[in-house]
Amino acid sequence: MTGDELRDARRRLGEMWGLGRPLRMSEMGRALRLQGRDPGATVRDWERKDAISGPVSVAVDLMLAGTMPPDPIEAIVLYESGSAT
Amino acid sequence: MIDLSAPLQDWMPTAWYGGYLSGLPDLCVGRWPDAIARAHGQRWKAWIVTNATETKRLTAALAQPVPRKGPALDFAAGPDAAVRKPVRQADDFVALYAPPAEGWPWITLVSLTLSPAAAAELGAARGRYTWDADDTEAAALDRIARLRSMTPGAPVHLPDRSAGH
Repeated sequence: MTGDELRDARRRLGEMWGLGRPLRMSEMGRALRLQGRDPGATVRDWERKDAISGPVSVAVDLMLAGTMPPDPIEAIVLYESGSAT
Repeated sequence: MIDLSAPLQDWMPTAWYGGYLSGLPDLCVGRWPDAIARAHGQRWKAWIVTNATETKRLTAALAQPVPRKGPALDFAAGPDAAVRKPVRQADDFVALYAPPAEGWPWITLVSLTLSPAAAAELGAARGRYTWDADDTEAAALDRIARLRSMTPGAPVHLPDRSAGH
């Protein structure tokens, strides 16, 4: 999977999950259970460097095929005041 | 299984931390459900409350379900809206809040005069406040010691240990 393909996956997953917009990088990071305060930073790196590992691409392909992530959408996408998460 | 469509207070326990000096806001701290805490790397959510009207509004919002934006929870349109107004007139300080009951964290609240851009960059609540939670007083005091180099001139307020904490 390339960086462009991961970017496109964020767009498609945002539509599939009813957000009406692309999944944000931080949300993709949370869907993949990346750790840390800014899981979006890792996704940003992957997209810029075209460096997406095999297991990540498998997880993303499964989600694109309709498998929901193990955490509820409410845990992945949360709108809070003063944040873009 | 937690019913996230239930009123917020049914699935997010909260505790109030009183402002113990003039000029210190009250804090309402909520404990995220495990799934959200794991995904966000945060166990706690804090609302900064500066007056009785906001207390009333936030209390009412906690008794309601959180509004939805598509499939997601929209705290910004729910409880966060009760205490969203930027606080322009306030002192700079670092303040430690003791847990009001066992099982709740020590909270370090930093109040700084910030430009709107800096507040957005820091994710500062209400244009000036940032906070951190620690499980122990020692960890909180260590955090405050590190913060002091970044907040020169801002007084440090500590709770009165003789008050029972």
